[in-house]
Amino acid sequence: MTEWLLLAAEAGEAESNLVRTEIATVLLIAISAAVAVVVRRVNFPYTVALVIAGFAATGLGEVVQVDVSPELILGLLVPPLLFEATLNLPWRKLRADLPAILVFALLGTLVGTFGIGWVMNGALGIPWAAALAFGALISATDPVAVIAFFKSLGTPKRLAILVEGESLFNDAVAVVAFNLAVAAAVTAGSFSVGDAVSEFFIVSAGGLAVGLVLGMIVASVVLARVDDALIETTTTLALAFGSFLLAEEFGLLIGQPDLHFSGILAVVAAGLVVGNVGFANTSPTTRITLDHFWELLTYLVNSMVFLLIGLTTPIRSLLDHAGAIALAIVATLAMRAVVVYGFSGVLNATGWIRPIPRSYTHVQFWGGLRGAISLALALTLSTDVFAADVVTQIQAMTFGVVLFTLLIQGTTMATLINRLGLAGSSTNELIQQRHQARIAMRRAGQAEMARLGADGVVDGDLADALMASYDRDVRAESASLRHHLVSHPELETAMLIRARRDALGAEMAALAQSNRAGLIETDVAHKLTNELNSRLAALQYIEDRWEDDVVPDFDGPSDR
Amino acid sequence: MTTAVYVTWGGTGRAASFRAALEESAGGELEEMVYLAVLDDGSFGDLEEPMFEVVASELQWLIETEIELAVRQTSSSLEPRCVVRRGDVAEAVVDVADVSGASIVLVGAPLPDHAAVVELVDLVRERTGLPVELVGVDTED
Repeated sequence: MTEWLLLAAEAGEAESNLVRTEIATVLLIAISAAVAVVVRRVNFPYTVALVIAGFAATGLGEVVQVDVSPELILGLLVPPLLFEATLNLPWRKLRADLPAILVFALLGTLVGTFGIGWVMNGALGIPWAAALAFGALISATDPVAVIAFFKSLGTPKRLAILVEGESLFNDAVAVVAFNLAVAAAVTAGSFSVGDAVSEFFIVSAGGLAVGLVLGMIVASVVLARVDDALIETTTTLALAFGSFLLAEEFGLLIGQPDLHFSGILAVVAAGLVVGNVGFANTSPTTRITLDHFWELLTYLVNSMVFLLIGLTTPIRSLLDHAGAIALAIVATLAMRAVVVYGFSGVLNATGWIRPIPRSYTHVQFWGGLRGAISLALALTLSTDVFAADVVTQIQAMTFGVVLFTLLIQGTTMATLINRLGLAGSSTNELIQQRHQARIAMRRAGQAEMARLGADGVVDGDLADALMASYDRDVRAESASLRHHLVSHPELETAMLIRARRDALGAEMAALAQSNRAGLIETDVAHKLTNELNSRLAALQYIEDRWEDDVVPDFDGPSDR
Repeated sequence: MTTAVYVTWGGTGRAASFRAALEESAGGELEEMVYLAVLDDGSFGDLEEPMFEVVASELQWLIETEIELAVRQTSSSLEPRCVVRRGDVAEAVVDVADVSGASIVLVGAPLPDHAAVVELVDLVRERTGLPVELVGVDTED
C-alpha cells in the first residue's frame, strides 16, 4: 500500500512537472510573439529584444522557469538551427569562398582558442586546460542576429555566405576543441598533443561522414522517390536530430561507447546535402512545405534560445566577476580582430579567392556575436573536472561576453553596415519606392476627382482640369521612376521578378477562391496549385541565378 | 531577310543592354531579331528534366515581358522573338545563328567581366564567320 502511494505521488509529481514545463513554454512563446510585435514598430533587433524580455520575465518567478540543461541546448535546440541554416546555403556560392570560410573556421577558431586561453591563464591564473576550454567555447560565433540585419538591409549575399559559413563550421571546431581541452584536464598526465590532433580529425571526419551518408540517403531515396510533402518534411526533421544523435553516439553501434563523432558537423553536412541535392530532387510543393516548416521551427527555436539567455543570466555572478568579464570581452575582441584582419589579409595576398573587401572584414569583426553554443558549452563544465570557483568564473565570463556581443555589437551592427555603404542597394530601393508611392498617391487623387466630378460635388470642368494636372504629375513621376530604373538596372530586374511573383500569388488566390466557391473540383485545384508552385519555384531558381551575375561556362576555341 | 541573334546572361542590367541592342538597330537594315537565352550548365546544370522544362518556360515568359517593355521604350520597329536553349553558350549561339540565317550576332554585356565576354565574342566570330558586336551599358568602359 505504501509503495503504491509512493508511486502515485511520483506520478503526480512527474505530471505536475510536465504541466509546469508546458505552462512555461506556452508563456515563453506568447512573450516572444509579443516581443516580435513590438520590435516591428520600433525597429529594434528581435534577438536582442528577446534577451531583454528574458531579463524582465525573471520577475514572473517560477512560472516561466524552464530547466535549461546543456543537453537541452545542444541536443534539442542547436540541431534544427544548424540544419535550417545549411538548407539555404547554396553550395555553388559556398564553394567559391570555401578556402576563406575554412581558414576562418578552422585556423581562426584554433588561434582564438589559444590566444584567449593564453590571456586567461596569464592574467587571471585560470589553469591551462580550463583557460583553453573557455577560449574554445567563446570562439564559436552565432550569426542569427547579424544575418537578420543582412536580410533587412540588403547587404551583398557574399558577405552573408562568409559570415554564415564561418559560423557553421567554427561551431563544430569550437566544440571539438572544447572537448579536447576538457579531456586534457581529465587525463592531465597522459594527454598528448599528437593524440589530440588525431582525435580532432577523427571526430570531425566521422561527423562529416555520418552527415553526408544520412543526407544522401534522405536526398536520393526519400526526397527523390516519395512524392508526399508531409512524409518528406517529417524525414528531414528526423534527419536533423538523427544525424546529430548518431554521430555523437556512433561508438554504441560498434561496441565502443567512448567513440564520439561531431554531431554538429554531421548536421551541417546533412543539411548541405539535403539543401543542395535533395531540394533539386523533390517537387516544388514539397520544397515550399519544407521552407515554411523549417522557417517556423527555427523562428520558434531561436525565440526560445534568446529568451532563455535572458532568463538564465546569473546577474549576481556577473557583478561578482565584472573585472574578469571586462578582460574576457577585450581578449575576445582582440583575438577576433587578429583572426579576421590577419587571415583576410593573408587570403587576399594568396589570390585563392576573390579578394575580401575591407568593408566586409569590418562587418566580420564586429558581427562576430556569441550565442547558444558558447552558453551550452559553458554550462556543461563540471566541478568534477575543474575547481568550482573556476567553473563559476568561466560561466560568468561566458554570459558576460555573450551579453556584450548581443547588446552592444548587436545593436550597433545596422549603423556599421550603413556607414560602410553595404546597404547601398536598399537606399536605391527606397528611392524607387518613393517614386512608386507618389504615382499611386496621385492616381488615387485623380480617381477621387473623377468620382467627385461625376457626382457633381465638384464642377465638371474643374474636375477635368484637376485630373489633367494629376495626369501631368503621374507622367512626370513615371519618367523619374524610369530614369531611376535605367540608372540602377538591378532594380528593374528585381521589380520584374517581384511583379511576376505577386501575379502568381494572385493566380493562386483566385484558384483557391474558385475551389472554395465550388466552381472547380478539388483534384483540379490540387493539380493547378502544383503547377503554380512549380512556377514559383522556377522563378526563385531564376532569381538566384540572375543574382549570381556569373559569366557562364563555355567551351574554349576549337578548330570547328 | 536580315536577322540578328542577341544573347546575354546574368540578371543585373539585362534589360538595359537589350534596350541598347534595340536602339542600335533602330533605323538599320535589320528585319528580325532572335533573343537567345541560354540555360548554361554552369548555372543550371543541376536542374532535373521536369523542373528544367518549368524553368525554361518561366524564363521565356520573363524574357517575353522584357522584350515587350523594351519595344515600348525604344523607337525600334522590330518584334524580337525569344528562344531558350540549354548547354554551352557558344554552341547555342552558333546553332541558333545557323538555323535563323543570322547576319549578325549581338552580345549583351551588362557585366563588368569583360575578359570573359570578349573571349566569347572572339569564339562566336571564329565559329560563325559573322560580325559579332558587343552592346550594352558597359561597352564604353
